[in-house]
Amino acid sequence: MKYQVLLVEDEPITGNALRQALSSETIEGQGIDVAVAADGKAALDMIAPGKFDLVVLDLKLPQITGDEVLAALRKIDPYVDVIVYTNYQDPPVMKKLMNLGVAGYINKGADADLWATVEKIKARLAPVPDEERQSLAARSGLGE
Amino acid sequence: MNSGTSSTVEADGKSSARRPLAEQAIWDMRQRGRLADAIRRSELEADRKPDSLVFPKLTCDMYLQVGQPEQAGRWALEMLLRMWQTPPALFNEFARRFQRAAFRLDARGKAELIARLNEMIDDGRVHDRFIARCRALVSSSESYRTVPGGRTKEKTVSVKMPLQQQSPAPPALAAINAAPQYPNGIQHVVDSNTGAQFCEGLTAGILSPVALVNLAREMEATNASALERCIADIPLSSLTREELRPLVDFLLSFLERRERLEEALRLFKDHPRLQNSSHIQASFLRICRKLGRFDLIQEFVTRNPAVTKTDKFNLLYELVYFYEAQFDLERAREILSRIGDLFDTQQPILATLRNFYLRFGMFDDASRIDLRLADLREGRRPLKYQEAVAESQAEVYSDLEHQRQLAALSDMTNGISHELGQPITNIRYTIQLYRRQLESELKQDVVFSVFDTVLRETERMGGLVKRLAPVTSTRRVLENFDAVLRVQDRVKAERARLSERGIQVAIEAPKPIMMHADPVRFDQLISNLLLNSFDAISDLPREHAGWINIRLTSPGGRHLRMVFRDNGPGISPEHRRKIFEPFFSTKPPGRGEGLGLFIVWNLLKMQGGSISLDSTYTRGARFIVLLPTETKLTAKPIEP
Repeated sequence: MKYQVLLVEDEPITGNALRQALSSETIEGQGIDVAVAADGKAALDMIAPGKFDLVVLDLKLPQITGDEVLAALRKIDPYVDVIVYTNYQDPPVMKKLMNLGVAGYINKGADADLWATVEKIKARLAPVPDEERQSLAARSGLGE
Repeated sequence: MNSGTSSTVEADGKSSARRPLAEQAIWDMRQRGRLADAIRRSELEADRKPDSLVFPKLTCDMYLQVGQPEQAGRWALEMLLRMWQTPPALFNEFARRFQRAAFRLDARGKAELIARLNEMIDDGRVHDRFIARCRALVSSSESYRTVPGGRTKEKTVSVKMPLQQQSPAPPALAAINAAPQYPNGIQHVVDSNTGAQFCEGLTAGILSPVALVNLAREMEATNASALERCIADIPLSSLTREELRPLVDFLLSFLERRERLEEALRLFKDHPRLQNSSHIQASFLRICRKLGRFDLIQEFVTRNPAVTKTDKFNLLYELVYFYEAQFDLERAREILSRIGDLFDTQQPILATLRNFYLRFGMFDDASRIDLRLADLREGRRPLKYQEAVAESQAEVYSDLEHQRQLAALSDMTNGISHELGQPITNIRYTIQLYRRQLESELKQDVVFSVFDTVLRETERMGGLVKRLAPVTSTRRVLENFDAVLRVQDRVKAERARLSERGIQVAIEAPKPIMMHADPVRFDQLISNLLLNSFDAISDLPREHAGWINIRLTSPGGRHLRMVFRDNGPGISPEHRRKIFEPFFSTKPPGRGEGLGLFIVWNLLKMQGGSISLDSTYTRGARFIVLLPTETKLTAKPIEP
């Protein structure tokens, strides 16, 4: 059963690269399916409760802010894991996001590292025992 | 603003943490016995901050300390003048000092001090809620003659403890206590639950109305709710005898103090003869304002048109608020102007006026008042302090401008971070992805496509930098040039791009318009506007015959007025507010970063101009650009 990831990203090149990279990976023999939504509206059309194992959400989307999308997503699926990633850190928005329940945060921009991002996503998806996951997260900079 | 704080532990063991710098300096000087310096510094600070009560209070205290009650009295009055918007409890701070000063003055000095206070009240420069108490203060001061060789003032180092004063029972109380009908004196009246006894005091003539007022005042001070209960039973509308006027006057302000505004209003309506007094009128306006009854204020102003020409500050003050609430800025401005003319030498009023101007965003007027304030201070101050004055006055309104610019700058830098981050991420991810793929097999076409992507993204970054240049460059070269010719040149320069898309450009200009401005910035302005229209029209199908129309005039000769029209899709209502914001774009990423109009806006602002969108124009987009023909360094933006 492949893992289902929803990637919300408006930059085609970035989105494509991440999709290709994730699709080429496996977790304990299971592959990863990546659906890409180019804006918030598309994301809301695609999501349904329990449909995805993980949402990777770019914060700066056209015409709607990431936290607004997240709030709307949460209304449909209150429990799905969400990792936000962006090259743009806005402290007030970060606070709002933490309140909405975000599993982690990844930096793009000048420090963008495609394969490290993939590892973090895999770490979130994989059924790893808690302590191991926590130490993994700590090593890769993901807040838990 | 210089509000630095310092924190030291004093010799007496008390920490002076969080005491502002000026106060700390004054404290130090006092500890060292340099009282004259401390007083001078305190006066300076009081002048610099016409809203502050701290320094007049401090100055008054120090003058009392060095035995100069005349100066102390003056500074106590200054406190009162500044207590326009402070909590009523602070009245005691003024009253205490006034009394101390008055006590120490000889008969002539005291008479002068009292005369000055009365004058302030008559001019309407004292807030109405304090007037009753001021009158009481005056009458009690008048009643006590300074005994020659009287109490010697104790020298005290600590200025924190005010001198305790025992005041003998004021006259009215004494009268009550002596009256045979009230064997238990004041207690009897206070305990009574009905106004009947109060009225009996009136009708039986035991107490004159004035004494009644004094009695009521004391009751307010000792047991206000008992007084409330007393007057609850008085048929207030029956108190129509002229001689009862002082009592009704008092009751009106008492009701306002107790927040029984509706009743106060009724009382006002029932006593038309009261309405001639400007204090009462100001109270009425204030009560209506608190109740939101602007209809009543309107009625009043209609019935008494002369009120707008009053020379009483308290009335003018209320009228400003009224016109502001009615969005009648024109009239509000007239009133403000009148205040400025009438009270040209009164610093606290000018400070209040300045704050009004700031509230209404009228920065030119605010700075004019600041200059006037500085002039007034200049007369009293040695030359070396002038810099401090100039500094503090510039701070006030430039702070607001500065904050706005900082906010705009912060938006822009955030946007830039993101905009640069996108192509950077694209480049990195692309390289990182294909690096792995190419480890197994090196395919030339894959390598070349990676290179192409990288090049394209760097162009995107470069384009961003280039578009930002007009906003970031600081070199300014002013030249004389004809705006019309310059616009024509710009259009010619873009001809290739425009004609490729079949866009016609028409320039309407009845005559040359000479500018003395930065030609490079002007070019950037026109280019950005052209490109903005070009981009908009390009969104429409090729068959659509696009045109751009630029009309240049110079009404009045001091400004260039450009109307920039295109027949593109126009700007939808929900986007109208945002089009001048940085990085707002309706285009997909990579095509137009949404900087054009933001840059235009900034360029204009830098040169004292402005741009606005005509929201009634439906055939495309219509922008109105205003630009002074003569660029000045500190030009304020013009509103179209």
